[in-house]
Amino acid sequence: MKRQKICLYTFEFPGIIANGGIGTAFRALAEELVEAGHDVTVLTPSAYTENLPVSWWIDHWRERGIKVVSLFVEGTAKLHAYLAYQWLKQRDFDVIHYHDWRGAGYWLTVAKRCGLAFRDTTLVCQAHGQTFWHLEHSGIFLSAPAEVETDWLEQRSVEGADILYSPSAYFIDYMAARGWAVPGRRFVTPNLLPKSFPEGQEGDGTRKPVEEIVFFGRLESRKGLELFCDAMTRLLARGAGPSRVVFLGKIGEVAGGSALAYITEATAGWTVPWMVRNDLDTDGAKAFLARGRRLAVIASSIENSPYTVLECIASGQPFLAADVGGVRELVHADDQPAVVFARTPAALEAAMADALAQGGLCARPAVTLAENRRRWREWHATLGGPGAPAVVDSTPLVSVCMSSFNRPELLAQAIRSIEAQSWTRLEMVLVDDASPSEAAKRHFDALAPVFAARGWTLLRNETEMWTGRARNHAVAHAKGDHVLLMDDDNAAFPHEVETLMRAAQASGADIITCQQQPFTGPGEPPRHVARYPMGWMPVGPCLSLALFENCLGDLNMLVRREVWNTLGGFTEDRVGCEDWEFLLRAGLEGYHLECLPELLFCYRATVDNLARRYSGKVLYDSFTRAVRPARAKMPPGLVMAMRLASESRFAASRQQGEGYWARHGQAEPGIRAIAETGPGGTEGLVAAARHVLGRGDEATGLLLLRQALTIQPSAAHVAIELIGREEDAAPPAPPWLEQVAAGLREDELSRAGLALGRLMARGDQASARVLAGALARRFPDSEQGRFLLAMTSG
Amino acid sequence: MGHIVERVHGWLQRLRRRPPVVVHAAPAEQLKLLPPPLEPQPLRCLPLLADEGLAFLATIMGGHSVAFSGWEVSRIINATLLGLELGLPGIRALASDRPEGLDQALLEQGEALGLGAEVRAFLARHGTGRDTGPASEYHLTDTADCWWVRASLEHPDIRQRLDAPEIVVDFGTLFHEADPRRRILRLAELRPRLLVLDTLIIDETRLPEGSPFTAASAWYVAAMTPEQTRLMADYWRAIQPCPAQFDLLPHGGTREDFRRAGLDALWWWFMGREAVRGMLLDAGYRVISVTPSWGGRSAIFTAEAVA
Repeated sequence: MKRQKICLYTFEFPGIIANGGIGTAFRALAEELVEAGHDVTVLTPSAYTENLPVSWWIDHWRERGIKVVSLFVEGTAKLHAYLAYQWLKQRDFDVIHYHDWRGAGYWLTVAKRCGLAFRDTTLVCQAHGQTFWHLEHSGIFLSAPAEVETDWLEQRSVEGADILYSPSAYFIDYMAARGWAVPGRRFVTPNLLPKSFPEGQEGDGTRKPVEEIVFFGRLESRKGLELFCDAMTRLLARGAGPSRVVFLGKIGEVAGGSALAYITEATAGWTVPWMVRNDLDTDGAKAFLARGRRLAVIASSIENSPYTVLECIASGQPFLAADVGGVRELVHADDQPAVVFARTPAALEAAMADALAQGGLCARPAVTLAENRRRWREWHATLGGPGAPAVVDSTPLVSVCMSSFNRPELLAQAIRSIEAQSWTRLEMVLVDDASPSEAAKRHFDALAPVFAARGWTLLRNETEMWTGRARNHAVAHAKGDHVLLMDDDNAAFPHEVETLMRAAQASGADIITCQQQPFTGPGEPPRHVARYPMGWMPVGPCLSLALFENCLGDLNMLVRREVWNTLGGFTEDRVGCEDWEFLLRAGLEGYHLECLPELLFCYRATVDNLARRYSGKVLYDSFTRAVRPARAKMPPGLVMAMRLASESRFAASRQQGEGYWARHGQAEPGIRAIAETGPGGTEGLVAAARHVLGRGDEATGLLLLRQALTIQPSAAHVAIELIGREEDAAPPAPPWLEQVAAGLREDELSRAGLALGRLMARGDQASARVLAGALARRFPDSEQGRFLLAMTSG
Repeated sequence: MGHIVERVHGWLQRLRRRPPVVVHAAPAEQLKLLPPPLEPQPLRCLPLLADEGLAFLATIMGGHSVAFSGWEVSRIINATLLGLELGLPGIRALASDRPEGLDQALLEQGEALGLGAEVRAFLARHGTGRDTGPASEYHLTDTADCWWVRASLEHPDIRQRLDAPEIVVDFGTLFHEADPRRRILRLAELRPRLLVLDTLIIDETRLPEGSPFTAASAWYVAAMTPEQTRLMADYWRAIQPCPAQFDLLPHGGTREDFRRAGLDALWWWFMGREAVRGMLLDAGYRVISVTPSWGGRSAIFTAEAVA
């Protein structure tokens, strides 16, 4: 047997996360593969742990022969997946197993398809359970775009695998029924069990007497808690109940409330005692069920291939299980009538009554533990081996297309980043979109001979075309087979073009986007690639999600020239989001889009970004433009429904100040102070006045303060700002000064001090003394007030 | 002091003879040569070298850019002064917060050592006074180039902010961490050629014979049995200082118990040498030397990047 280097990559592992089915499956597989002599690493990226530190669990599992690695990631599932990919690509595993849940393997599949990594690695996706599958079978509506994204990442994790493993045929049918392109190479057999379930103890088809009935599973609706309580109430009502009822599992929720509250309410009138055991792990639950004469009831509304059933069978435990999902596949055909019940209260009541009367059946497995282990080992030995040869190496010409407007220093950085590319067969097509500044004009003048000498193209517009049209203008002059669009204030990492081109060649993709590394300031862009993208992380052509947010990628995209031509380039509205619109249109037209899990360029995120200067109406037009291709595809009768769906999301983003709507969130503190004031009242005017006064604009500051005082004449804190500022004003009347001083708070004394200083500076000592006296009377105990009085006296 | 002077002179002799630290991760031609041999006069930082950790650093830092991290501000200041005297090409310190009066403290300590001119020149270029605020979400390319970088080790572009140091030195915090592997991994992700960890360790040879603690052990305080807790308490009572946690919770307890007891800066982990060595190896760094410090209570692990 060839010793394989295997990674089991999972978001759940026992101990770190207690009791998850996925964790149990990966633990059991790890034990099996280690015993078979393979080199096994368990990668669990998260920093999250339910109790003891991850390091403690790493040592715990190491002592048991299993190597666990954590990356201590916090954040979204796609970020976990991104960092897992970055870790895995540096290691040459023969086989990587990952699960479908939360799209753990999505970036791995992109990387393999695009030739970034894993050429000689077999990617096995284990289908255990998906987010939407859980939601729809739990009666929970989709409520956030993130759920759409997760569903798509899960789909692509499955579709992109080399081999799909499923513990049930049911689940493959489910995915196929959803229209997923399920991989042709499949392996279907039950999950393995941990070594604490030895072979030879499986059910033998005999019956055991039953005294207690145990609800076995997390205490929640999806596990059938209500169905069980309903059936038990019926059973007890006819005087045929057990001696005790046990609820064995963690306490979850029923109808949004505590399951314990529900149980307490539902058991009113029961004639037998009940208890809860919510403290047991897999082995503890097994031991508990084995003691006494207990019948386990698994009443879930949906299951793939539940461990609860598998564990009962493996330990010869009498049980009843609802006929859902892949449950039936686990039970020997002859024993199914006795232990698998139609999922209704009446059927469960009858099955429990039968078990109490005749004894609970210790059902036989459909596949024995020994046979299942043999299947796994034999199948696994066939995995690995070299992958397809690399794509033929060729270096077609790439045209980097850019339009620039009036920022020569940033443009120079962008050009330098192109000059530093490792892909040498490239040209640049640069459009000066009628930059008005002299500095920009001089810069373009200086560039002209340089570009000419290189055979690059510099186009000078007489009038401003705006971004969409200017970029189309650039591409129209491109000579390359591929064009790379680029902003003039960004900078490419040296490996950007090469990585994009290699990915295009390997995958055959028509359009490729990537991750961006944001930075701020006008200085040189970062030289070192960050660990992961900060903020926005596009995922690729999830078209449903693209109706709500740009998940497709940035303008910085590599496009096959013929695809660009067929699509006609960007639309030319003088608003933003032309990249989003173009990518969505390409996706809807069926072109092959990929988004790489690599940071390939630096994105300058400053308050001066064009999009951050857009008005609300321009942003509205930009967002509605972005999803225009989808509207065009909709039947007319449904257009408004689509608008409602996507625009309600945009409205929520605006309300919450997300993305482009967050421009005030990133503004300097003075601007933020203005933005945070309410629309009426004086506070905004005063804050604006202070800000413009601070930058030396006295006239505007005075006008704003005057307006504030017009709105609220009694506002002492406004009046104090005006005192001594208006050069041509008559000296303030003493009663007014008294009134202003009387209205001040003590924490405003420093501003009063500034007013005094202004009066003194313009020689109005009389007013200064009046104000100082008034302040001293207003704040008789204030040291600062006395100081101000002394200042005017002196 | 005499023995320290003797040791340091020995180190300095070796330093003069020593080639630059060669690490397999980088081609030799990229490594900078050591600065010119030191002047014959004694190192002005000599008093600082009573700290065994700093004395050791003096032998390995020459010619390399270095970043210091950790909670021990005074040691970071002293290490920075040592780095200034050695003429290192880059010196950075990293912490989420910046203590008050940091530049002044560096200057005062520098002047006390006769390094006032060097410190003033350094602060003129890298003083923290020009730092306009806490680190922003994104790397600021036009921010002041301050020696004390206010940012979390968790930040994704922290390597850029530290200007990709060749050596990273972490002072004495590992045992305070909720999870030491997390800190080691983040330090490793800075991808220095050398990673130097100064941390508390348990010397298993000082424990009673037959003790369950071995050099490979890593005991987490909230998972220790009463017997293990007693063993550790006896160990620390014998060599001092004994942390208050052993008096407040002599039989141990859960993480929540320790928090309720108001214990901050807890000694969360008790680790043997091999445990730390293993954690470093997991993060891609092979230990090339272990030097005792703090009278044997701590050890300085020097690890090189595994190619």
